[in-house]
Amino acid sequence: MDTLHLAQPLPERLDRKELLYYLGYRGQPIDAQTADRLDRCEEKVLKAAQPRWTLRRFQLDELGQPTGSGLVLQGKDIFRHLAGCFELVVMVATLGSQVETLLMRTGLCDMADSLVMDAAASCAIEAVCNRLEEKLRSRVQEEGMYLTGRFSPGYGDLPLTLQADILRITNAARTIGLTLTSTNLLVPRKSVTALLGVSRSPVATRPDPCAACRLRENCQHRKEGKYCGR
Amino acid sequence: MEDKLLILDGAMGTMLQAAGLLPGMRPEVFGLEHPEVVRAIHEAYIQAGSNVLYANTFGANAHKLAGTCVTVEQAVGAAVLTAKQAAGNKAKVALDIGPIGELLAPLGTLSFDEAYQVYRQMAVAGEEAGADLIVCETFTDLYDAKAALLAAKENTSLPVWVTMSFEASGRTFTGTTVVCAATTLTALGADAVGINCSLGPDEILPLAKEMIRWTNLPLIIKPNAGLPDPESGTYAMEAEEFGCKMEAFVQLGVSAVGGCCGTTPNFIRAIAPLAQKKRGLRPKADRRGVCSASKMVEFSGLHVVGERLNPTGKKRFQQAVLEKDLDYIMKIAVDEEDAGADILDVNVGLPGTPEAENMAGVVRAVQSVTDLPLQLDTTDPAALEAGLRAVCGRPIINSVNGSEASLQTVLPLAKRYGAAIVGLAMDENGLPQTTQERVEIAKKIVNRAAEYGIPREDILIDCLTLTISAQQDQACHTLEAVRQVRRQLGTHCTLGVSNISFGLPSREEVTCAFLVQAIGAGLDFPIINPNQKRMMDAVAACRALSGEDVDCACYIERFGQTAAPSALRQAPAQMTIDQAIARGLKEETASLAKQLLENCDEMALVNEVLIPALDRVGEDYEKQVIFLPQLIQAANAACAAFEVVRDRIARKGSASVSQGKIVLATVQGDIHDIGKNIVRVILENYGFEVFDLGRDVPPERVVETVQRENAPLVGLSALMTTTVPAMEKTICALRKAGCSCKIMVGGAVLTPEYAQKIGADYYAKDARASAQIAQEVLAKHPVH
Repeated sequence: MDTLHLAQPLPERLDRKELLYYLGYRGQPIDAQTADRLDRCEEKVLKAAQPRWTLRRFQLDELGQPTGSGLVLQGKDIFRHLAGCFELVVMVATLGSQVETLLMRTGLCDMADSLVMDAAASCAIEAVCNRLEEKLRSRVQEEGMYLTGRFSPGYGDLPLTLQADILRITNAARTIGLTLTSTNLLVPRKSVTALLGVSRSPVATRPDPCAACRLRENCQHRKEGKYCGR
Repeated sequence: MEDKLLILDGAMGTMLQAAGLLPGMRPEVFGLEHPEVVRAIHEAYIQAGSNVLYANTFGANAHKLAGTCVTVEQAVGAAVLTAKQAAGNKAKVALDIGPIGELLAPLGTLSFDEAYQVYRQMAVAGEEAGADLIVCETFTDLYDAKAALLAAKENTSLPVWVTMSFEASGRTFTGTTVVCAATTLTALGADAVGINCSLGPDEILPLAKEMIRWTNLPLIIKPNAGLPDPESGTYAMEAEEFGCKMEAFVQLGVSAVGGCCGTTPNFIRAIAPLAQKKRGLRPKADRRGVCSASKMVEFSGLHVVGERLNPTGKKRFQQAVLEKDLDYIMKIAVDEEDAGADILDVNVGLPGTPEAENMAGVVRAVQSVTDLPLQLDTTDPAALEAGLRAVCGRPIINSVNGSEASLQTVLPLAKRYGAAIVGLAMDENGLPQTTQERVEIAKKIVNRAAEYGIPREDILIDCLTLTISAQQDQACHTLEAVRQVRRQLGTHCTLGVSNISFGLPSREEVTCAFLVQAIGAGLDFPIINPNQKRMMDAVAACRALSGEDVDCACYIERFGQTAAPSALRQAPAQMTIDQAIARGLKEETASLAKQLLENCDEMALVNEVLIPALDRVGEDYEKQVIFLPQLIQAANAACAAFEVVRDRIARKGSASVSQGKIVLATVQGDIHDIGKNIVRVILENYGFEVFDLGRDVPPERVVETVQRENAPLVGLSALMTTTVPAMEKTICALRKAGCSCKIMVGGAVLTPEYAQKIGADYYAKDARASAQIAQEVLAKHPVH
């Protein structure tokens, strides 16, 4: 199965809490003007978004590497994430270039809007990935199996250099217009590549996320005893 | 191309996979190692009836081959040779150029020139290896396709075909439309154009029907074997069904057909008999226009050309050109587009500035934020050509005139790049004084253009608008000339309408009256200020009168709504500038600033009013009374006040209120800039002169700017741990060059410890911190 059909990849409304998190919100009062700005920017981003995605599934060999893919997983954290899994799912998704242009254009005229739209776009791509993951999980459950959560290059010690291979094996440039810069940054920027594991026995969807995070030492949320929700 | 339908080949990728190509392996490298496999595939297509083989070179470019030991010349040479061996004298061999796979700037980091060089290398290698033609296929970005087409056309003597990949909506991933692609690629000299990949024959047929009305070039159609099944991802269409569906294209008059993803030799066998069928008569293309990648302005009806991107008489714009303040320029372009301009005139001619370089830069900047086709306004041939190469789409050249010198320099450029052209009805003899003179010169231009193959439908004659305060009798001559030119010559007409009222009071009255009379006489491309509502109201009325605005729908929409002032934006009668800033009210802040400037000078306004207001907002942010969007909206509003100040300074020629110069950049390899942009806005509103170099900035450029401006402070931003090393490189480069500037760094993954480790002087944890650092550093560096 190389694709996943989603009738509605985007929610009607974004998660307001998540949006506020991206904006560094700490419980300040939100006046009517700011609330209006949040609504307006969310609407514009949802309108400009053109979500596209593709996935590929590979068997994992005895070393935990996906067979017949040319992709070589590196580091320790991904193997911890995939522990007990026999299949790897590679997922790539993007909001498209129209959102990119919207952000650039808005940045000229109204930086506050641009900031909110940038945050909204991050929420939107996460929402698309969440829906893809949910649908995939129910598909996999029908087969009597279990799905881990998402693990992306850049998390823990999974290097960004894997992006090139991930895009190649999913034919991302040709099927969804997702490309890479020479420094392994996804373009359009509001895009995600993720690895998920399929297992025959129950797996934690989110094993301790802070363990793998590179920002754990300086994280404001951890210092406050909270969790960022990633 | 011949009269007979050409049968192309089918998919190579899927055939190679069936023959042992593993995912992740490069087909061109595989082909080099197993030429016999590739040859067998080619031979299968020949047997099935292919007249043209696409060599296995789709990804044989320097970027995709990086990291292998295979050079472009090796991959191309071997693949073309293999194809030629299979083809013998039964078929032609095409060098297959696919996109590099990286997005071009501004969305991505690949420059047009870099892309051009990569394609040039492939094209030259292909010709040397003996390819009969070049096909650029599966492109989804028009700018990328332009780079490939020009690279192939300018460096080889082979025919060049270009086919692009669209979604069912008729747009590519980056928003390029079928008609814009057809128009632009035809203008730039492709020998054939068309559509391949992404869609099946049924989805492509309506797109082909549209494309065919906009170009007379031979058309190529190479669909996938239908759409992949959404659940399984496989192509379910059978060869026979494919063959049936392709017949419709023969009737349409298409010149070449083949198959793309999911097709096999059986598919080609199924379409080969189509070559025996009678090709449909191809009607002449009946639609034309100028365009960007995503917006077509068709040459029928009334179209507004925005005049504001022009330094003439505009001190602030001149300053922006001098300082390369692209943000200011882009903002004007966006304002014009929002006001309803259809085309944007772009003029950056200023004595003492590098016009060609500026033209290219401004064209790229403007087209990154607006969708409109551009009109390149210059008398410098080098600047004109720079603009013609930089523009993405089909532009208008402003202008050629009736003098020999102009005709001989400009017409060849118009021909070469396929641009439409404004013909100015004046010549070596100076300004024409009569109707007759204008019409005669117009005739001369039209006839000479015809010698170059430029049809009159692509010409916009400018009968010259002279100011009535100096030459009152000329207005009638201009209007009569417009009438006669439209009637006798059948070209379009344009005019720089605003000139008419120069020097008179209440200019808008005269300009508007002239505009309407000229439209009545046949003017169809008025060059006006679209941000003057009165002018656009007149245009709306004219469109209703001509019937172009069917059922007066747009007119009713424009005037029917009563303006409902947003309750949120209603300022109470007496609002202080502090309140306006805190509430992010730009217009109110600007008008309050103007009021205050009646009683104080610019420096006092900045230091005693604006900066303290921002400081108070900043403190509220620190105390978490407000959060980031509210901080930024205040900065936005203060920005409006600063624009008033800057404008006033430019006009008076007074001393700058700059608190000091700061260079900002997102480092090389990094494309995240929202944090840096916020810092910029905050710093500008504290009165600093900020040189924002953008994103993905090489260290050399940072050094060069710091040295040139003698900037005492540099701010570097990087978001990713992988691009932070570029930050260190930049710091080293600055130190090595002997710059004594202070360096502050910021970005999500940075820490104070890391900042120290890489040699930065300050770590800025957020925008507020950078403003505080800036104040500290620049207090020690008084402004000259």
